[in-house]
Amino acid sequence: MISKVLNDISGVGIYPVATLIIFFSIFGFMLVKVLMRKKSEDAAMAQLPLEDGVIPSQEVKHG
Amino acid sequence: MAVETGVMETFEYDNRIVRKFALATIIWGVVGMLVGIVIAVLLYVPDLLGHFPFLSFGRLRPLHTNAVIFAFAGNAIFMGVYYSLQRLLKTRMYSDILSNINFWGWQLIIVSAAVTLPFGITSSKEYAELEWPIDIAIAVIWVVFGLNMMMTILNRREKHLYVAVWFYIATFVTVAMLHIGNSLAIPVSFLKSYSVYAGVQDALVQWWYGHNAVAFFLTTPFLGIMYYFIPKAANRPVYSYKLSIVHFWGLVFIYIWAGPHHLLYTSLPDWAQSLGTAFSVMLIAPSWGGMINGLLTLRGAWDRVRQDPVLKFMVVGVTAYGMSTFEGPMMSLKNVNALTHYTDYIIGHVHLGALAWNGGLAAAMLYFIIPRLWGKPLYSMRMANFHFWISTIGIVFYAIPMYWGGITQSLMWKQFTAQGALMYPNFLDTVTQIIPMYVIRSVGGTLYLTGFLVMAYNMIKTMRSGTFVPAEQASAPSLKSAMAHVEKSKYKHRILERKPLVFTGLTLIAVLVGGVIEFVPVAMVRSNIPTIASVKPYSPLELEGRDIYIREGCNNCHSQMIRPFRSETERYGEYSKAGEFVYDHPFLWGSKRTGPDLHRVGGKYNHAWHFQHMKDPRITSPGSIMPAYPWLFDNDLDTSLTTRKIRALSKIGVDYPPFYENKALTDLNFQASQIADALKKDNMPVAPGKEIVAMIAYLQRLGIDIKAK
Repeated sequence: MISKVLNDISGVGIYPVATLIIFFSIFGFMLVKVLMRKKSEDAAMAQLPLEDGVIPSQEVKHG
Repeated sequence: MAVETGVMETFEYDNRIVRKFALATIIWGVVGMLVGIVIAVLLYVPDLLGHFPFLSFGRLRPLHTNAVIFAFAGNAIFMGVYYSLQRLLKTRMYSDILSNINFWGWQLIIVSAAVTLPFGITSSKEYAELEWPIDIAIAVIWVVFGLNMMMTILNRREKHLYVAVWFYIATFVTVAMLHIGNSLAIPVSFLKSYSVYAGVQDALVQWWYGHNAVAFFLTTPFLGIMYYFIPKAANRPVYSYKLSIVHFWGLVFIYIWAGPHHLLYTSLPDWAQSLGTAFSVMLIAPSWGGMINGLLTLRGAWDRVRQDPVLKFMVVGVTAYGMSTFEGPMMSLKNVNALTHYTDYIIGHVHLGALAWNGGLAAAMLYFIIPRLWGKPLYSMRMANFHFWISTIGIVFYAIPMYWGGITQSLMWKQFTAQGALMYPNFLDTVTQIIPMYVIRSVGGTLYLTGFLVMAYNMIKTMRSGTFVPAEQASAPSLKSAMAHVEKSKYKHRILERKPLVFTGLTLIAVLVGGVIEFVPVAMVRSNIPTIASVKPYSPLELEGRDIYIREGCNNCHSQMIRPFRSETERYGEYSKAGEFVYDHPFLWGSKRTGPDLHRVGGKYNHAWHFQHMKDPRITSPGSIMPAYPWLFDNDLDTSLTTRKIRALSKIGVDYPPFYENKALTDLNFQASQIADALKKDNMPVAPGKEIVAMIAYLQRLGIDIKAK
């Protein structure tokens, strides 16, 4: 019954096609960009949590 | 405040706000879990707490879910964000005032929830039960949090936004969108409103919200926390930064589409169901990418996992995240869903995530943060180890009985005899069969809470042995001077990271794409649903009865959605049609069948049966685990809002005749006296003005509009 409702929406068939195209094109673009990144940049980014700028005398030793 | 010393600036991280959220996490964790154990026991000792309305299962269950999600996990999120955001951006939070408004506002919202839910003030929509004034407060406080975060990002000293910050931004943007979208309601009074959506539309909006609340409240912020705290605790960078980027965009893009998997085999359009399933299966890829990235960060450091409670909880939490995110897509397959939906299997699935992933990461954060905030090592490693093992065992004792019980009950529902009749036509037989599983589950929950209490004690002792460090000094070059040394990058993504507002906009687009595409056809459903001529709006008395049904939280245990399976149509009657719900503001389909479906209960029993059943369910159904509702027999029906209710519903499209509100009370009294007269004939005298009469009126109306005469 409800599929009849959707059939009444003009051009509803384009919805799933459009969404898949939007999804895969943007995701694909992102993937290419990510794979093009330099390794050195990634390494620098990955270091960020380990460099919080805390002045060493302030740091607490944890055993 | 920062003091400039050449290009370097010295500044302080605000630990006070982290301490506040840490303490709130512990306190609300205990409260939320305690309520959880209480309701777990109520399932096999229904009279445990006597007959107080505010202590009945239907009212306490939303209190439990709200307490653990928004109070416990919510405060844990803020603790993690306020701790890590400052350090990742090398700056203090933008405004201490906004931080404190965020904290106290959030606690006030939690207290409001704790007060209103037991008193039956609820919208009935799962994980969005709070009434409209509290909803507005949530929106305001959430914006305060977001504003503080975005301003901190704009004032940062680190040019790049680490991936954890992306997850925090996505959390802020998406939760705001979901909360506002799902909470739209028309107020009747200060504490009563009706969802502006009806039936199928309301169900889709609710599960678009409900599913993505799991995604963007219980997953993305915790992933950000994972990406910060695992490298910190292991003292090594994340395994693959590339993978973390793919993880982020993959998750944000895909998650938002998967909501319809909560509505398989319902009156939702088939294509939307299929889309939900497809995207749910795709979701395995980014989820497992994230899990693998977290676990592989520990490569070469596994020896530390043996000693460090932070890493132990992280490892089990991330592993459970992997298991849950495999289980979820599997349950989105229609054949698996047909078996697991409406059963305790879902409760097991949810708690695997909640206890191990959210609870585990919250514990890991506390073990990491508290010793650092108080400048002392953890008080007792032995206690931390005890906590780890007892909570892990508790999770096993919780989840396995729920899986076992869920599948057992589902198979019993579907079992036919050789002659083609239901093997267990009495629903109660399928409930009593799994009572032992409920008992074991409550033991599992108790073990988990015991571990949590030991952790709380360990934390208090650690705090007492040290001195709180309200502000941690740090230094870093200002962003302007840092930027001056960097030549323009040719990589667009790095530019994006430097433009947080653009990034936030793109994140919003990513989540909106899925939302809008699902939403547009649904928004049109309302006006396009072929009206079933015999479906009429509820009478004023039935409407009042429905509001009592909502107040008592009946929808927590009873569904109103018969799926098109022979096992269901044999048991309950004709399967549910979308057109039957066009006047249901809000929809009450439910998501769990602790008791049977009620969509066709109207006319199935006489008034006297309902009268006795509500007074003491054990009279009509020996062995029933439903609570008694004696107060419905004492309370006078409050009709002071009836007129306004009719007027409000008319405004949002319910087809009452013009000016019907003026006639509503007359009709209400007439119908009530008819029911009271019928009860009197069965030797059950009751005044027509009692709440039970309205409740019976509503139950007798359910599903009868399209019943063949």
